[in-house]
This record gives sequence, C-alpha cells and structure tokens, in this order.
Amino acid sequence: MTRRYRIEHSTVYRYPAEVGTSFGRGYLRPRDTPGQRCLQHSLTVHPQPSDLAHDVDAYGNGNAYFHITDAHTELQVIGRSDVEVTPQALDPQATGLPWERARPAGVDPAAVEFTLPSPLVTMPAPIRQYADRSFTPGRPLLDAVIDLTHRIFTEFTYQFGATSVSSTVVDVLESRAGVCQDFAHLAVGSMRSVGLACRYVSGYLATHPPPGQQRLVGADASHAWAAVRMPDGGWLGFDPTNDTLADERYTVLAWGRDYDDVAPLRGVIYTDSKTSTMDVAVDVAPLD
Amino acid sequence: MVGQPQCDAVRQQEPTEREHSGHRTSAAPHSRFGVVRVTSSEPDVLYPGGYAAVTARASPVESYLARTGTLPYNDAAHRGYDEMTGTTGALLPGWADLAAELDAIGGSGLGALTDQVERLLEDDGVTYTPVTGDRDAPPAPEEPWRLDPLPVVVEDTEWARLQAGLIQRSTLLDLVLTDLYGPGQLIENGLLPPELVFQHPDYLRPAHGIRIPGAHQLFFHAVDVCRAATGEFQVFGDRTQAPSGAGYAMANRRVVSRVLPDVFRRSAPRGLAAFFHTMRSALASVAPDQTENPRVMVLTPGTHSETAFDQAMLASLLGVPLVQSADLTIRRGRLWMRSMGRFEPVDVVVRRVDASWSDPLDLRPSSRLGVVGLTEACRRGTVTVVNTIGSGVLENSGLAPLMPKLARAILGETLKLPSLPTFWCGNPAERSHVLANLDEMVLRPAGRGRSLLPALMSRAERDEWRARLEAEPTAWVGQSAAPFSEAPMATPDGLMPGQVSLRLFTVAHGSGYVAMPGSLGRVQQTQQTGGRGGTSVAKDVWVRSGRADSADRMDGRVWLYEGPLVAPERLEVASSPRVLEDMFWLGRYAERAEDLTRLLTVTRERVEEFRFRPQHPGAGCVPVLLSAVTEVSGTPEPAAGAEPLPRIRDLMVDAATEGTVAQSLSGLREAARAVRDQLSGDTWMVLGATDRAITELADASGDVGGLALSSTQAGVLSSMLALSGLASENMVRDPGWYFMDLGRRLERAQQLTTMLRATLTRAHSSAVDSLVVESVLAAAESSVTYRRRYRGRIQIATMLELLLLDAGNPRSLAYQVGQARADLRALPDSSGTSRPQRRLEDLEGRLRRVRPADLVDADAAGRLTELRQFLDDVYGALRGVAEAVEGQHFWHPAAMQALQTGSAAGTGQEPA
Repeated sequence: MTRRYRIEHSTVYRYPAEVGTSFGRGYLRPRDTPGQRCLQHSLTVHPQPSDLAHDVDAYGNGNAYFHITDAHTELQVIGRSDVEVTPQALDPQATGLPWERARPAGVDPAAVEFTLPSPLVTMPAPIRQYADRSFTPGRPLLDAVIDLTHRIFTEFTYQFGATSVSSTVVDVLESRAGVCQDFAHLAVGSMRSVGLACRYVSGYLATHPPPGQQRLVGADASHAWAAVRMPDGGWLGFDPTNDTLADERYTVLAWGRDYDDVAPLRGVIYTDSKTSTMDVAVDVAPLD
Repeated sequence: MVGQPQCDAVRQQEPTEREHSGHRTSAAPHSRFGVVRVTSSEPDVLYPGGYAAVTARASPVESYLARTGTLPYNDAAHRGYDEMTGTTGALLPGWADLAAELDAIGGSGLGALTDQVERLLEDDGVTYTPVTGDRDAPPAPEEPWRLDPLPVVVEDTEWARLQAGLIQRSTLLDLVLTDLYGPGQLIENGLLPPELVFQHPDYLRPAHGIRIPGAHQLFFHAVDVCRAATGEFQVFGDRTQAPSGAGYAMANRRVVSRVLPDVFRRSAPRGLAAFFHTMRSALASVAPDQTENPRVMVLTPGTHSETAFDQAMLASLLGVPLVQSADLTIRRGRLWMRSMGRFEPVDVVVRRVDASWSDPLDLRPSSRLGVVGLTEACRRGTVTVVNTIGSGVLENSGLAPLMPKLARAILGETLKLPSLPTFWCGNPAERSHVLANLDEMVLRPAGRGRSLLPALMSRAERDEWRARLEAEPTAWVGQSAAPFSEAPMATPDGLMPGQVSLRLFTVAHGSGYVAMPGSLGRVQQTQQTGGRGGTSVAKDVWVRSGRADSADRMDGRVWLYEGPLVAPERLEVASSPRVLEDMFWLGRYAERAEDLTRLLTVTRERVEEFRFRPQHPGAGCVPVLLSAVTEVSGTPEPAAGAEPLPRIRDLMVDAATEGTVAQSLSGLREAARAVRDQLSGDTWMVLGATDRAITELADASGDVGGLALSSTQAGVLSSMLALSGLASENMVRDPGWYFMDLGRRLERAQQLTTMLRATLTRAHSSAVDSLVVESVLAAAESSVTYRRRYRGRIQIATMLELLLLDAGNPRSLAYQVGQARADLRALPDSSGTSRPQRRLEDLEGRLRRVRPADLVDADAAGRLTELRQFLDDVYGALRGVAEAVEGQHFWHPAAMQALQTGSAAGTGQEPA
C-alpha cells in the first residue's frame, strides 16, 4: 500500500562561545527511487546562511551546502519533506537464485564499487567468517539475506554508547552491541566480504505508537540500514536493527559506501569554543 | 603560517641493483667520437671495485667508457643502455662537447666542479625537505638540493619521438580522467577494471561534477621515464596529483649553465623558460567565465612541505603569488584572498596541496592545509583549481598494462611511449607472472605508498608477500626491476656511472599539450655493493636543438608585447595577513641577529683586551657587557666562572637555544622561506653566506685566539648589512616591505632600549663606565658620530642624546619611532589614527619631552632610577605597539573544528 509521510528532521547545535563562521553539508533530501517519490522538500538554516546551494553527489543523492557568516551560538538545520513510498514487489525468480549469482563482478562494473572495502567498512577475516554462516553455497539470495538480518538482530544488543564514531566493524562484532548505524555497517561488510554489492542506506523509519497511546511528535529518529544488489540489478533493502526487509515504512534519504558518504549533517566551524551540544528531533507523520 | 609536510614527493623508483656477482675481465675497447684521441692501450688493471685504473694522465671520459660495469649483469646482454655511447660503444655526437670539456678539466677538476655546483645551489637557496613520515614528529630540516654538474644529453631526433609519445600519453590520460569523473563509460564498457578506480585513494567522489574550462581536465602532467637496454624510453610512473619538479629543473639549468658555460653555449640546449610562459597563458585560459586578467596563485602546504622550494620557484617562474591556506577563504561560493582587510577574488589556483587535504568540509576533515568549501566552489565553477581535485587517480600504476589497449580504444592509435613492463595483480595471468618472477620485480601499490624490492627480501618475507599478493591482488602491481640506463656522474674519484631517470612535463595548452623541452633528470650512483643505493642526485637534461637557427633558439625569450597597455597588478594583492606577518618577522629576526652580533663583537673585543690584564681599572667593563649580553639575548644566565669566549661563541652558533644569533638566523630563514616569492633571489646568496660563516665557527675546534669567532662575527654582520642593503635598494615599497621595515624598526628600538637598560642604569667607576659607553656606542654603530659631535668627551647624557633622541641618527630610538610611523602611514588602509599609530605618537611625545640630563643622576647605591624608569616605560610602549600591530593586521583564524556528527542515528528501533 502506498504511504505518504510528512517528515521534519531538526538538528540544533548550541555552543558556549561564539562561532564566527560555519560551513555545513546536509544530506536531508529524500531521494527518488523506484519505490519512492519526494513530493516536496525544503531546508531551513538559522542563522540565515550567506550561501545555500542544493547539489547532487556522485551517487545521485541530493544534498545541500551552506555557509553562515554571522556570528552565532546556536545553529539550527531543519529539513522538511513530503514523500510517497510504494512497496516494491520482489521478483521471486531473482531473489530465489543462488546468492552467488548476485555478485556484480563481470556483469555490473559500476556496482563493483559496493563490493569493495570503504573507510568505515573494512572486511577482515572475522567478518567473512561471520558472513559465511549465512551465505552457504547455493543458498537462495533472499533466504541468506533474511538469515543474516535475523542473526544480527538476535545476536547483538541495541545499546547506546556501546560504540563510538571511531568504532570499526570488528569492534562491533566483538562487543556484540551497537546502534542501527553499526548494524548496518556490519551487514554491509558481511555482504561485501562474500563478493556481493551492498550499500549503506540513510533514512527514516515510521514508527507506530504502542496501542492506546498517541504518536509522539519528534520521538522518531534518523535511521540506517543496508541494501544488497539482486541478480536482476535491483536493490533489496533490509534492516538488521529491526529484523525486517525495508518496506513502505522506510524512507530513503541517501545511500553510499558507508555513513561518512551520507551523514545527515556534517560541517566545519570556526570557534574557540571547546564543547557543543547537539539535539536531534525527527518526526515522521503519516499524511493519510 | 607553517603547514605540516604533506605533498607530492619527487617520488622515485627504488634503485634496482642486486648482489654484486663479479667483474667482467676483458673490457671491449671503446672508440671515442672525434674529439679525443684513442689511446692504443686499454687499461687492464682493475680496482677491486671494478673500475678501470685511473692514472693521473688518463682522460676521465676514457676511463669512464672503459669501465667494466658495476652492475651484476656485466655481460653485454644485461648491461643497461649507456647514455653517452648508446648501444654502439662510440661516443654519441651530442656528448662530444661535454666529453672534450671533461677531459680538459681532468679527473682532478671534477671535485672542484661539484663544489662549485654546491655553492651555487646554496646561493640560490635550492633545498629539499625530507619527509619523516611521522606527522607528529617535528618537521625535518631542509637539506641542500643535490645536483650533478654533468647534464644528460638527449638528441633532437630522440626528443621528437619522446615528445610525441608524451603528448599522446597526456592526451590519453586526459580522456580517461574526463570519463572517470563524468560518464564512466570506460568502467561500464569493461575497458577499466572497476577495482582499479574505485579502490584508489585518490579517486575522490566529491570531485564528480567538477569541470574546468577549456579542452582538457588534465592540466599539468609529469611522466617518469627510463631507458631500456635497447635505448627505448619507457614510462615507469605518472604524476598527476600535483606534479613537482619543474621548478627544480629550472634551478638545475641555471646552475649547470653557469658551471659549464662554454659547453652550454656550444651545445645550446633548448631553453626551459618558454614552457613556463606557456603554462602562465594556459592558466589564464582556464579561468572561469573568460575572466579578464584572472588572478592566479600557487597554493602551497607551507615551508615544511617536501618540495617547498619547487613550489616557490614555480610561483616565481609563473610570476604569481605563493599562498597558503590561511591566505584564502570561501565567501558566497567563491574563492578569495585576504588582503589588507579586504577580499580579493582568486580565479585560478595551482594546487600543490594534495587533493584529499584541500578541503576539510568535503574531503579529509582533519586537514589544516586546505580551504573549507573549495570543492563546492570548484563544482560551481567559480574557481579553477589545477590539477583538478581528483586528478591523482591517474597516478595508478595498475593503469600501465592497460595503456596500449586504451590508446587503441580511445584514440584509435598505437601507444607511442611504452611502459616499463608492468603487471597488475588484479588480473590472474599478470599476477601469476609476478609471482613466478618475484625476484625480477619492483612491487608497487596501485594506490599510494612505497615500492618494495622482493630481491632484497628474506625468503620468509618473500613468502609473506606472495600470500599478500594473493589476498589483496587488486592493490598491487609488479614492475620490471631491470636496470636503468647509465650516465656519468662527477665525483672526486672521477666519473662514475649512475642510473638515470627523467621526469618530463607537459601542460594543457589550447587544444593540445605542450612538453617542456628538458626534464628533471635524476641519477643514482650504481653501487658496487648490493643494498639499496644512496639518495638520488638531480641532473640537468639537455635537449639538443636540431638546427642551429631553428625557431627553438628563441625559446625562453619573451618579445615585446604588442597588445594594449597592460594594467599592473595591484601591489597589495599579495598582502595577506599571513604574508605581512612573515615579512614583519623577517625584519625583526634580521635586526635581532644584527644587533646581537654587534653586541657580541664589542664584548669579545673587551674580553680579549682585558684577558691578561685583570687588574686594569677598566677590566670591570667586561662583566657589565657580559651581563648585558645575557639580558639582551634573553638567554639563560651562564654558570658562575664560565669562560667568556666559549659563551660568546655559543651565543653565535647554538641554534637550539632561544635568543642566540643562530636561532634568530634560523627564524629569519624560516620567515624568508614563507615569503620566498616576495624576495629577490640574491637574498639566498646572503643567507647562504651567513650559514657558511656560522658553520665555519661551529666546525672550528680549538679556536686559538678567537680568530674563527671574529671572522664569523664579521661574516654575519656583513651578511646582515647586505640584507638591509637589498631591502633598501632592491625591493619595491609594497605593504610587505613596510611591514618588514616596521619589524626592523621595532626590533632595533627594543634591542637598543634593552642594551641601555642593561649597561647604564647602574653607575660604576669612571674607567669602567667610559669603556662601557664606548662599547655601547660601538654596538649601536654610533661611535664615529659621537666622537665628532662631542669631540671625544664621554658623558652618559650626551650619549643618551645621540642614541635616544637624535632623529637624524638612523640608529637612534627617535629615528626608529619616526620610521615605524612612516611605515604605518604608507599602508594602503592607513587611517592615521589606528591603535599602533596612536601608540607610536604617544611614544614620540614622550621622547620630545624628556631631557637626558635629568635622567643620569645616580642615587646613593649607584642606581640611575630615573633612567631605569624611563627605559622601562619605553620598552613597555614598544611592546604595546608590536601587540597593537599584531592585533590589527595579523589575522589569526579561530580554531577550526569539525561539527560533531551525532551519528549513531538515534533510536531507530521499533518498540518491541
């Protein structure tokens, strides 16, 4: 069933000392995909940037560059988007083929990029060993993907603070804990280690309030999962954090090799301030 | 102001020699071409090292040609090509003049020739800064550039072939680059293995969408070539990131043409200057939107970059400013240079900062060498950066084996300039070849990093590497380790063979490419032992001009420009706060070195005077002067009873201690390097002489009678005088000059004030004070004036009159204050009422009101408290001026930080 959402993603930075100049790049515009249309999008930055430009990166992700030249102690970036998501029917023929047939080598050169290690996703031997348990020879692709998704979901604990920005995929494997971004990286690394092409996907998940409760505005969060290339060249999204395939609850912002390619917001500031606080609020509201 | 070393090295092929396996016992006779007679007897006595015996009479060239070879492959089949004789054994025509000259010089003259080269390189300030590899380590000191006096001669017919191959290579790689950051057809169609590109550290995804104006995306290209045994040129590497070496090539040419003037004239190699003019016009032509009079700059990582000299030389050959990241900023999506409180637009940047370091926003966030937002500006096309961000992807050694196929597919041509046999391990057949012939290979990473020589590894290491090649095949390349061609090098032991490689350059111009008719040659002495061989030495490369009067002879000449009158560049264009600050410190350090040298000189003279007469009534001036030395230099108090002369010597040569002359000189040199493009070339000659004077003293052991000390003091002083002469007579009065002068004035005023405070604020015996006053006058270079004006009668008050208040005495305090005000007034943004100006005005008023006679009364304890108070006040006021100048003119950006990315994307988990 086609679903429509109104998404608001707000990030506020507060600095104890003045920031003179601030440059930023945001990946906050939902991209158009075979199952998704971005109906409307706007980006608001406070204070008013002296330069704000929309851009498309090497992977076709929309993004925006901004430059603030007014001194400030608070920076607010809000992305507002309306999207329409249509679930994609899986072709059982493609997903039922042995997973080895989904390797892009020799048939889809551009997708080979997503089989290679990237700065945040390396593939040392333990990753390969972890993947091998799901990717047994000749197993149907969908079967293997669902198995890996389920294993990450059951074998790892969702836990803030278990990992840091500098944690590697191996750290996550050892600590058996992390957040969605870590699980996505682990899934991506596992797929790549067996020669499959796999993307890191940044986006949102529409949550349902517990029965009998109001949906809490802003209680949602940005999310991350993975997508693997199928034998027919399509991409199959799966979410090890929630043990599910990506369906109409999932809104794609951007994809890349890993988190660093598509971080929702990054930037450079000029300040003598030593600390800052960051508050993120995401609201994914159903429009229908 | 000073960046970390991070830049393209003049990287090089590892040396390729192996274990020595014996000597050839019979040398085939070499005939000589025309010039020198053939001796009837071939040398048959061999030194153990394998060189033919050199007798005093023997011609160095003959001995060289008769060498038995030093490589393990001494049979003809394995011997490398000989640049001097080709494959024929006879001297090639282009080498005849040089050979004749070498024989005229004789074996004994070769040492003198290399000494002369060293001296000229030092005078030109040609240096190279080794990179330690450890980012946290302090930057390595610069080293003298090493250059062999003997050029490599390339015949014009050979050059024509080489040039055609080069231009074809640039054309081909340009199309590859354009495709990689554009349509991606080469990967899509299977012509390029995707791993080779996607895995390369210099394939920069944010560079997608950058397209510079003009026909080409590859702007500047350097190609490293060597020669096979057949004499065929072969490529062993491409430099496309930020090619270095063209400036060195020009520096080499300038030196070699001076040490071999006759041969240079007779051989008349093709000139290099025209190449830089071509590059200058090519740079203007790639400016955005056909900007009229585009502003072009060279962006350097800083003075500690490996090839800082080359970068500054390039800027000077192009006639454009050399800038660092602190000089630049992005505003409204454009690149600007900070200049005297304004922003001047920048149109074209010659990038010498590696691309991944050139923008902390879209590339490496930790970089302090880049400009935030530069990639965005490039994508918008508001500025042209060459080489383009991302060009480094072509420095991929794995491309070599694909070049013939790419030439056929893309250009429809046969590849004219082959590669040294190279095998990419990502291809199974090539990998087997590498594994089967590991000992004959140089292993090179397809990305960045050092090359390795399996032949020098232990068996275990080799096995480890075999496994690694199997495990990560796409990351490695094997390249033939066959020896390069040999050419003679001048050494004190005669001519010795070295293995030669050439770095050649092309630049995109109009619809094609233009090659520099010359090269940065490099030679590595062929070692007799195994091992890795020493460092490489540069060589000039002479491309012979075919016809004596061909148009080529006009190379390097710029004829009168017949267009409309050219609008001059505004002088303040090159006046970023960073440049102004470096100029200010240049002035300060030069003055500091001069003033301390003068004080140390008069002190040494007094020490010597009273050394053997400690009972003399005037001997008490020595401790007064010695303590003044300590106070003025700000160096630690010496141990009680320390010998004065060794201390004076240390204060001259000890660069490790803050406040010494040597330390000021190193600060001076550092500042000069940072503004090399602003200074006359003669500056380096002066600094070279200073270094030699200091080194002489440092090396002099047991300096009997202090002869070396006094000669070094004289040497340093005359160098500092030469420097101020250069400043006053040879430098344009632009903002940089005014800041340099301002630095000099404030420093001199402070030094003078400190010296007076240290010597005169306490009364001593009349004999001591009169000698102290004489010494102070001498140190302040005012003795002659004083004697004439006051008829030789020594009084403290009259001396203060001359040193503090006489506005006509260029060494007086009043004069420094007046000049400093004039310097500030001359600045283009001068308001007349700026804080530094107001402070100087206050000081001037103070000086007008003071009467020296009121200052010189001593109290019962012999303290001249009024004088002390006055000098303290003046010193404080001078510091205030310096701080106000710093605050107003030297902009230091706030610390740059990455915005924290909360990453760890929220909760994102469905409630259970």
